[in-house]
Amino acid sequence: MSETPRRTSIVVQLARFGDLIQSWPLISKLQECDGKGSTALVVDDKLAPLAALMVGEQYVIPVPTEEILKSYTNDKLPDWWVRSKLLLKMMRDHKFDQVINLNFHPSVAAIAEVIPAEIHRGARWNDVKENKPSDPQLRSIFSAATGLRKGNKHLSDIWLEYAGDSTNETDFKSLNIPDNIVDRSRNLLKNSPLDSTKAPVAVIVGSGMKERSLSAEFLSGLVSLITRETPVILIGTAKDVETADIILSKSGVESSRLISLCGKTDLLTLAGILKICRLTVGVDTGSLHLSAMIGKRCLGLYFGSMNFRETGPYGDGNIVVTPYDPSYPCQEREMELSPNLHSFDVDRDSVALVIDNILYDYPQSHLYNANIYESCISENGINWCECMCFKVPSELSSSNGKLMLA
Amino acid sequence: MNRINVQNPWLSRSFPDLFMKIRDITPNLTLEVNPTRSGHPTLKADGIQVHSSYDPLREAESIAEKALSGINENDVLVICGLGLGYLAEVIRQRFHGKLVVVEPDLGMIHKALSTRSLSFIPQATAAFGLSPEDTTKVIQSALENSNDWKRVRLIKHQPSIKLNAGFYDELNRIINGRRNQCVEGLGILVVTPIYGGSLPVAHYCASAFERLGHRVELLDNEIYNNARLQIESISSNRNHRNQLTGLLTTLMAESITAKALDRAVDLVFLTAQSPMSPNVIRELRGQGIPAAFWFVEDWQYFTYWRDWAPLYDYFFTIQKDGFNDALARIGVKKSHYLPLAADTQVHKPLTLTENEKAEFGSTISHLGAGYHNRQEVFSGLTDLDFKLWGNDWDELKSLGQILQREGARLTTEESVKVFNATDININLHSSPFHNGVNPEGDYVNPRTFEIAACEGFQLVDERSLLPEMFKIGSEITTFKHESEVRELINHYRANPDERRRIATAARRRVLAEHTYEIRMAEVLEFIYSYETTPASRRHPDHIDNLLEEAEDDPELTGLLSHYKGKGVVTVEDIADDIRKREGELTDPEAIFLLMYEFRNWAKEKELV
Repeated sequence: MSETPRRTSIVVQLARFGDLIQSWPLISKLQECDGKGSTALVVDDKLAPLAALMVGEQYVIPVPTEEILKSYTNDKLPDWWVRSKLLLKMMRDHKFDQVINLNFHPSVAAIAEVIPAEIHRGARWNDVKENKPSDPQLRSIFSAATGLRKGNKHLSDIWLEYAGDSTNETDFKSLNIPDNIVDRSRNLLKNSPLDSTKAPVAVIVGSGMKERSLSAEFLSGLVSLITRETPVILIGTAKDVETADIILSKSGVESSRLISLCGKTDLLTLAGILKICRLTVGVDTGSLHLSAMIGKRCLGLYFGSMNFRETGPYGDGNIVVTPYDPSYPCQEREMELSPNLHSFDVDRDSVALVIDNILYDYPQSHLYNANIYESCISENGINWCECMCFKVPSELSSSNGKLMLA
Repeated sequence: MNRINVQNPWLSRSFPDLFMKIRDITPNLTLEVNPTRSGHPTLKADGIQVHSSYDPLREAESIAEKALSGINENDVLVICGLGLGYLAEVIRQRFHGKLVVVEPDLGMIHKALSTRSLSFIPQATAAFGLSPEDTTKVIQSALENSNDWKRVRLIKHQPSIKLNAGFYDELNRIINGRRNQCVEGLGILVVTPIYGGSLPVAHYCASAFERLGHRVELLDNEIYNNARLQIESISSNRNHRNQLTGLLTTLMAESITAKALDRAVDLVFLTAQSPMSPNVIRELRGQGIPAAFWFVEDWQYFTYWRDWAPLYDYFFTIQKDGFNDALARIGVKKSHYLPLAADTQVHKPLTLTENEKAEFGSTISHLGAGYHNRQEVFSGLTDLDFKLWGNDWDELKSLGQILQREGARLTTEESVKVFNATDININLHSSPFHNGVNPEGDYVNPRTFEIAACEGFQLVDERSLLPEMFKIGSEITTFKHESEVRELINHYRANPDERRRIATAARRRVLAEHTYEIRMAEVLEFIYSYETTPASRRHPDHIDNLLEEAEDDPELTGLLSHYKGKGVVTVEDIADDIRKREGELTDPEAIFLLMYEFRNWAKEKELV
């Protein structure tokens, strides 16, 4: 460790990509309070490169979750025992002042439980086993974990409270993406047919959850509208390649204006790409959160059980569009049962108008059947202000076309 | 007639009764003693060569050498078969621990004593001419109050066993039962009926199994009682009601298989009226899980046993003789007489408040349903301080004036208070066919044991099986005819000390012999005298299997060894224990915790 930290913390975050990224405000604050090298991070091994950007490679404890889980299909008790022993050794190699468990999940809580520390914050194993969150923060995490998505507090702000009262610092600091990573991503783009004279817009194709995904038809229409002004990069995983291909062919946009990097980027390259883009558009996904945390503007399309107040893109000036639907946000179970009832019921032209407004300050006349919110960070965390101008006739909207806050 | 050889004077001194019995015995077997070249006489019984016709001693030495390998001095050796005593003699010379020599045939003993000097016998324990049950008691005394029947090693003299196969089969079965009682931590699924008198019995059995250290899973069907009542009122068409009831029974029966397999139990135990289906019994048997049924009903009044008894693996009854014969006639082999009992954790002496005494107390009381014979007898006692508790009484008749709570059923807790608060509990066994005491009544009802366990005093009608359980007069007071009741009441009302003395003795007897723990131990002894390996021993999570698997890892073995004797131990059980413990997690606990949670996670992701 380069300097003696005031207090050492180990943050256990074994949830998905999006959750790890949303832990950044907490991690950033811990490091600011206690010095560099004060914070270690327990993450899924596949997310380790990203975690290394957050705390430094030597402070990442990667857990081969998938490998361990797969071992249960064949192995027997002694093999599981040996594997768990190794995991325990990994967890008990260092001593920390505090353990902060961010996941309301029994396995993760068990990992946090076995780490030796004077203070344990966040979800304790017993709380999780008994489904009884013992404090208000935990109740919020619990509700998120159980799919009861009606909270008003952002997950990052809930977690941020675990940093304690050790600092007056309230500014949100973006996650820095080193130049070499950005350069690598830039080279990838250089080798593509995409017009490099204009900063592109990233459009997120898929989502880890089927109910959250937008249709290829919607996205191809949206992409056609954006590419009239700005080149677009489709981003996503290998699972999204098929949808991306449909978008490419349906939109009919030439390759200098539209490319797909679905399945072609690792996490760091993706971070570099997002850093290069002017704006990222998409549903509640890790990519959207990554874009927000590295300080790039985001347009989140939130519907169904995706509650932007809990998991909207963190930071200042991000925009969220939600359907004008009193039942929004619904519970996850409702979304599963009737996804069509809780779909993204906003037409693509309206979304394109919002994008125009964000990118070019174009005045908008109207946007029916949708709610639009803009974020700002205050002392109390992220706030969402409704932007009225999109819902009222043009004569009432601001003359310069900027989003007018309610 | 052969007189016993005077070479054995110790027999008449040490065992005068036995001596008298065998002195003038006429043997059942044709016993023929012949000389051999070695000089040691040999024996032929009913044409079977009992010893070598060349050298019986050498033969015995060879058998002994094999039999004694792996035996240690703490074991109790039981030699099955005396013959002319060669084997027992050789073993006595080589083995210095406890030795029991068993020979059921008095003629054989006679022949041996008149042929050879069996001077070693006084240094062994002789179980001569006894029944298998009494032989077991002799072996038990050789164990010196220990219950470790695994120390009992049988050395079988095969020709003797052939000559008395029935005796040795039964002895073997009983000893097996005792040994397997040492099988600890069985998983037992107790299935309750939906309602009725055998419902609390099922719960008492479950508690008793648990107190005996077994893992009990309860399938409590009482929750379906509302559904049953709903079906009764759903249609006036009887066929429709029967169909619906059948569906409900199928649901409950299928739940047995589901739960038995899910919880990896060794045994399914049901009491009368508990739901079951022939298919489920077959499925359970296919999985190596025996199903046992305790028919706590009067076999002559409830006849459904005819259809069900042959299906169950084990069938327990509260009546014997006639019922045993009837069961044997329909091919039921594994049936066993098992009288009712008391749960002494529930039925016990209480200190009642004045209010409780006023509410539940009286000089005389009866608690039970209004069967015909009770209505008849009690209607002649209404001039006394008599409280009648229970349901199905005719309120409009004279008994209405003494009926409490308008004939509502009492809870078990309230029943205990009634037994405690009453001076004289009248316990008349029910009969729909008699006007008073059933002169042929045999079984003893649960109330008899329950009142006694509460140290309550009772007057009970005579039952043919009652004297085996209580000493009439000193431990319990009976009446043969209803006409005696009033006189007995007057006598005992005037003699409270005598009442107390009898009640105290009755409770002592219950504690010693009539608890559900004792009954359930007997159930297991009977069942595991036939069953070889508990079904769960084949389960991968059986603690012995887990320990075998973990033998290379001392930490894991250390953690698991706490569960030795607990049968199937799921990772959930261990994780629960860890969760309940306080303080820092030890390394093995922490490792286990991680292992457990990751396995759950894998299950959640449907990888397992």
